[in-house]
Amino acid sequence: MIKTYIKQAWALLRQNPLFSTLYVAGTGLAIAMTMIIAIIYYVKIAPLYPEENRDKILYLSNIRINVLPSSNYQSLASYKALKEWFYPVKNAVAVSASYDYGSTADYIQPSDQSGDFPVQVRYTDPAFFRIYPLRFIEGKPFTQADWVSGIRSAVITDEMAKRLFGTADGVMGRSFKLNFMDYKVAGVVQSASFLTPNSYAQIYAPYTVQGGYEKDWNLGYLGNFSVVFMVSSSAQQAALQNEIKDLVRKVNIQHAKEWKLTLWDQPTPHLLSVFHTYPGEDFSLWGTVRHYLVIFLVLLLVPALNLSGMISSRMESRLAEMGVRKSFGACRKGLLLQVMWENLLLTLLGGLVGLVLAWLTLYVGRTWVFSLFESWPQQVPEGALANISGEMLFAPLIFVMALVLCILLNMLSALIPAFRSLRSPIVKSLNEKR
Amino acid sequence: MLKLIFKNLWARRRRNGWLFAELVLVSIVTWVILDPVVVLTHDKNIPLGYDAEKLCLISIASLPPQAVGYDKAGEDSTELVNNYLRMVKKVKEYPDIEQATPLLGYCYPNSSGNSNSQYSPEGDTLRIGTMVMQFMPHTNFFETFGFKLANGATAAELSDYNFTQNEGVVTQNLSKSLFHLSDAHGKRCYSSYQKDTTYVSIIGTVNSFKAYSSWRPTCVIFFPQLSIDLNSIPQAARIVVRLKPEVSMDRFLHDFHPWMVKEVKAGNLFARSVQSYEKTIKDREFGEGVTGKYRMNTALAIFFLVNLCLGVVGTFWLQTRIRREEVGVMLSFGGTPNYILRLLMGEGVVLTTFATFIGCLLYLQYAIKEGLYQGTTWVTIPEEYWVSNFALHFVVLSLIVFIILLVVVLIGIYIPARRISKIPPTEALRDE
Repeated sequence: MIKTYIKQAWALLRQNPLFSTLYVAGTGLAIAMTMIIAIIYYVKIAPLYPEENRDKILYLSNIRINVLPSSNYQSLASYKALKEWFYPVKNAVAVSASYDYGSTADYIQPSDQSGDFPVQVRYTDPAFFRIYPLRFIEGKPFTQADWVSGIRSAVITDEMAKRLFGTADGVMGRSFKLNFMDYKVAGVVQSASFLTPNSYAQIYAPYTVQGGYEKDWNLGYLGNFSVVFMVSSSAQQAALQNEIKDLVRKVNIQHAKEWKLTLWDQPTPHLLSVFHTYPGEDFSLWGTVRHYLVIFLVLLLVPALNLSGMISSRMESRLAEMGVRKSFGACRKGLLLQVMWENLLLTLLGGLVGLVLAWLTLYVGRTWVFSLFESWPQQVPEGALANISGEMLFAPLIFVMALVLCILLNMLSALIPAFRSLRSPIVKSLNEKR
Repeated sequence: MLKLIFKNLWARRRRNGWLFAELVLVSIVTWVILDPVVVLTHDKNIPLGYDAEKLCLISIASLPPQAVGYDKAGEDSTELVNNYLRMVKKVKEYPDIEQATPLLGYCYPNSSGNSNSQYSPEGDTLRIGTMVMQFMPHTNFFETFGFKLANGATAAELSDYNFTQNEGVVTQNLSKSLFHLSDAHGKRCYSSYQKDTTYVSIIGTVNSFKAYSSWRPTCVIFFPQLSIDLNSIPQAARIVVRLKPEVSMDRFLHDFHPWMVKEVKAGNLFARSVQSYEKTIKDREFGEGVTGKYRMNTALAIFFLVNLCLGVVGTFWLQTRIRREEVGVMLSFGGTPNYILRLLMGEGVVLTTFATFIGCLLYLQYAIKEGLYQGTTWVTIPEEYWVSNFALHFVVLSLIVFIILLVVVLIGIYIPARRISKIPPTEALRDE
């Protein structure tokens, strides 16, 4: 049955090229816009290399200390906070901290003396590689022993290895100059993309190489570390959040007369952190859902309403055909189903066009499209790669999303015009001899 | 024809009602989308005031103690300054370079930071918000940037003037705001902070310019750096160079970098990177969100306008069958297909005109309360532009919205209208 519908739909499509083109174009534009937004958020939320554990990851990046009576200090955590509060938590599989010492860039001094170039370096600890399973082409992460002693042993990406040594093979143990200090290559990993910024770097080094990492800049607990936790299940996630709440309570009792610590609802699970970027900000789940619902509704409803006019006119031209079929016993439901299937074919075509357009836009504009929804757009740093992988663009979920959007659009634009047109009496339909 | 158009529109008011409502909505939406785009385009098209096309910025770094070649003696304050100036001199030796000037601190055209104050003319209490910038005298600052002087003097004379403390150079808009003169040479102004009042003698006036490309020209006062803040070297120490007119920027950047890495160094200081001024400007626009706003708004505008076009096509296509007889009658009474086309387009024009008028009127209520988009400049702007005049801004933008909507609607009508107008009268009348 469906085969007949599709055959008929194809014939109709070819009979009305202008209508078909306009309809496919309109649908394509709507699907392109919605899919661009959908893919941008997919890249932020879905488990992608090397952040495959996103559903088990939580972040803690802001701590606020109110010094009585009225001073507020807010910043990342210090090494003391890591040692006393975060590293020893019981309800986590791994805890990792990254050191962010401000906007001074890191530079490599290449061996051919061709001039410094900036690189993205992440100063972290060995637990980082358990939380973010980067694929090692050679070697392994810097060890706990290296990290404890502050030995300059770093993991580099394959594209960085190619840039430094001309090859990504057999570079283990070789040295390079970063900020005028010699580092040894401990391992080579497959490059990730700047589009997964929480784990992105071109060089991963132990933060203990940074002089002064153990210093705090105020009150002992304010410093430059952001913390990442990995849990094993949602039960452990709840237990971790409770443990941190207990910790805050105990600390505040201990320092009751001096200052008060606030961590808000941190550690924040990854999914929530995509929408609730600043822990101290007010966040309403319903408000956020409503915000995105409205956006999607507008992007789908506006084209649907505009396309329904064209569909109505098409239905009118087929009134006679419908009248003949009804007089031969076809029921309204069957005819409606057929019309919807025919329309779905057109919508799917439009959806395909829209999806291709979305892919093209995202690929060509990959350095800026992904930051379109951020309040402070971050420029892709010089040398960093904003690669789009097949995993990001061609994931099965993306096709499913596109299909669902097409079906939704189809229903919104064709259901009512088709239904209304099929209500006309047989006699009237038969008299419309066009 | 107009009477017939009104009659036709009224006759099909139910169907046209939907289109009318959509037009009103789209006109409001287009207003919201186009307001920032038009204002930002206007601001970006105001001439920069200095010639950024042939300018480059060289950034400087210093060898840390652990580096090979580090010399402790180079950290001595005099040596530091001398080395910096030696580097500037070396850069001038490069054949493609016309001028090179040291740039110290964070207060220069298109800098990442800025300093602001308020100045008043001598003998008056009027306060003008002013941006404060700094330059080193005797370093060709004004020539390198390409500033023009108000009184016909050359930039070289101004750069070589022996500035003393509390002498400065103002821009023409500041001169006009303070003294109502094009050239404030010889005048004095002052700024006061708590109990201190500092008088400044104005040595010269340069043309107004934009501190940032997406801003409008603001009042600027230039002060000479008579002593050098050593903390600025090397993080806030740069060299701005002007290329010779015939040199291509891309080729220069490609050829200059290896030479710079090898030659431009003195003591512990070395030149790290070179970037064209235009790229620095573009990067700043991106970071400010200006580029993102443009792209987002353009995409949204295309989305809504294409959908409007499709809606119009749909509505008028619907009428193709219904109006066959009417068209047949008109054609048999001597009407030409062209007439039919003009009739239908005329209906679209009338619909759009009324809808845009109502949409703009509705938006006016919002605009009166919340104001119109004012651009990204957050420092006081001395000059009046049409975008800062509410009435002019509103009228011009309403006209732009009207024209865009008219074009979209006419395109949308043309497609079905052509079909309608080409119906042979005999065929149309056969169904009568």
